[in-house]
Amino acid sequence: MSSGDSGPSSSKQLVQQPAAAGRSPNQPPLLGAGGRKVIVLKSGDEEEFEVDLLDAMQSRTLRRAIEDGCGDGPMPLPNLTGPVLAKVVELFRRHRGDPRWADELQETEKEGMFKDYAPQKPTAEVKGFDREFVSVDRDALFDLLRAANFLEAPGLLDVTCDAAADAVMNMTVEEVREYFGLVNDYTPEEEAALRKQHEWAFQ
Amino acid sequence: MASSSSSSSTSASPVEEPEDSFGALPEPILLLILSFLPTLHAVRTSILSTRWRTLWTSIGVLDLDEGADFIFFGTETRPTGAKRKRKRKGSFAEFVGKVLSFHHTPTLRKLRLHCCSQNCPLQDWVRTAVSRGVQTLDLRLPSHPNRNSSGQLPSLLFTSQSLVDLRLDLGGSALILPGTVALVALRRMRLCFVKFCDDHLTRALFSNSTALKRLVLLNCDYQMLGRLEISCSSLQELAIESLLKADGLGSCEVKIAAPHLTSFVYRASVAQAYVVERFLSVEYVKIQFQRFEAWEVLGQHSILKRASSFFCSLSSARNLDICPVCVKALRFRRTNDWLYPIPFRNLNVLRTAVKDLDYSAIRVVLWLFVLNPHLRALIVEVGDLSVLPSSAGKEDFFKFLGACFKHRCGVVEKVEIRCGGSNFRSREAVRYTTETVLELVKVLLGSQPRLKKLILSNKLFCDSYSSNIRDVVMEKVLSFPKRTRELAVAFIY
Repeated sequence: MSSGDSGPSSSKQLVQQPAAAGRSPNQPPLLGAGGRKVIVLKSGDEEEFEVDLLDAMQSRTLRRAIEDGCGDGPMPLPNLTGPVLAKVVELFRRHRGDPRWADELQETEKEGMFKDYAPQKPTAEVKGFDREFVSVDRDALFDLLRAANFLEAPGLLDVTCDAAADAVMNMTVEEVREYFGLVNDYTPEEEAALRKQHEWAFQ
Repeated sequence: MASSSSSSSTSASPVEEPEDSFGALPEPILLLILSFLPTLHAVRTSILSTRWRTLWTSIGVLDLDEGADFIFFGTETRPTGAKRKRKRKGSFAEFVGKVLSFHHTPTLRKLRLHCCSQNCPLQDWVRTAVSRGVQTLDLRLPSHPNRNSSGQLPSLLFTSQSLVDLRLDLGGSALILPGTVALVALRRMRLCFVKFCDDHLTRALFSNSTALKRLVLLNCDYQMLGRLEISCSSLQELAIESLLKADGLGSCEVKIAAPHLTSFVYRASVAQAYVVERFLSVEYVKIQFQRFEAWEVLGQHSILKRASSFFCSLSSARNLDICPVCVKALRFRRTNDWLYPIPFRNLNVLRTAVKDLDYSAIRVVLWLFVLNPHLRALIVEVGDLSVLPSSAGKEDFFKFLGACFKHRCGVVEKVEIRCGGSNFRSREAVRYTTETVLELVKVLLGSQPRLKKLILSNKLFCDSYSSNIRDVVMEKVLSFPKRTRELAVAFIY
């Protein structure tokens, strides 16, 4: 629909292959194919991923780290595993310039850093990717949710939390407890009292 | 925790995962998941365990929808597995009241309140939301029995310092605005089924929203306005859409002053007059005049004149999408020599619909072509290709077409021809359609050396039973002398 097809093509150059290891921490940020700045993220199991600097900015945690000058060497993220980080990096790449979260990015604009972050409408392709992204089992989804929480990335949070809400929406109370790993610690009397107090919601 | 290389000094320290009684996920995540549920379901999670009892009261998003959660037709299974009978209508008011009294977050990020019944204490609810610093407010109210008097919204709403996104659906009732409007943080406003009542206050609503970036007016009623004035220097996207039978724009002057506008959509009837400053940075323009036929009786000329003057202010558009009436209006402008033609000097993409592919329609399209040497993509939607004249007229038409394109070598890269008229009455019509399309393709291939993408969309080419037609067309297209080596042809429907 849109006039320019230039958006996605430039992003294709970014490959999220494990990057060459063993660089000294004082080296300046790598230049990706296309002259873009990239940083290297390192998972808990020692896998390294190259990610475009602008894409990494989708995560507030990474943004803080980069702004503190930690983007020079591989950035260790010990509580994320390689497969999770691979998925997350792919999502960042696909969400580049997504208007749903671009506002926030523009507000924090610094020295024209986001000038090529022109907002685009989420295409059907992005929406399809999002659906595919969260069609995983409960444990994998929880891993992604924890990663989203740690990285503080609005797009990742929205996509994963929405999926979890969808999953529990039509479950019975017992199923929801099992899903979240909860033990019912109400006594029958307490539960009855709560139901009575919140009658307006449990009718 | 895996052994990480100690060389780096990152501040992104890993957060500990508390294995507390909330379960497997950290609390902020659970709150966020709850905020994606309708609030009714979020409240019910208090039954899960004692730690969850008050968890929902901290969510930042409230989603209260009477239509979805309170008015049932028949029975529905609820999370406990029990069947629930149809609920009494009055309980929605009680529910919202309880939710707002239990909910204890100082900052309410988002409130979605869709309400179907009349007697709700809406004033109080909105006031509560505004005082909790609501940022996104989505209100849908039932239409007021007396459409001209609805004092439903508190004036506090219109001076909110925190509101960023406002969606209002009044079901056709009047929007009574207070004397002071100052929505300083508002970026997006969407008004649906709203009846505007006062020229000055309506003007103030838009001009005092000094951070407004996107404004959508959907199916609004302008009958009581003499002038709809939108002057807002921060505005980037504006859409005026109305599919109502009587939107009242015909007796209303439309004035727009938005120097930073980049996207403009107008799908409504022709207004009485347009006072529009030239949009210098506009990129995307879509104009579709509605119910034009009803107007034609009153005097085509004056209406076409109004419409064509409208185009002057849009001449910076790069991506233009216009309806058959616009083509008519542009043509009108062209044939009256005392009016200079409207050039679209920056046009990159042109999408246009024409009723049928006759001389005059083609002439307008060609003329836009001639004026726009930078045109890259052309999308032509033809109402009905199969209505066509005698064979003699047809010959002439093709000749004319060929002659027009002969000396024009453009830089068009993408052409899409969409044809309506899906029910082909006879084999004659099928043959004629195919011929016309092929003729157009031939002319385009011969004149556009950079053409890379050719898309033909018609039911005719995609039906399984007529796949032989598609093959024939494809074969013909490939046999034409063409200027480009890498031409891609696609058939879609």
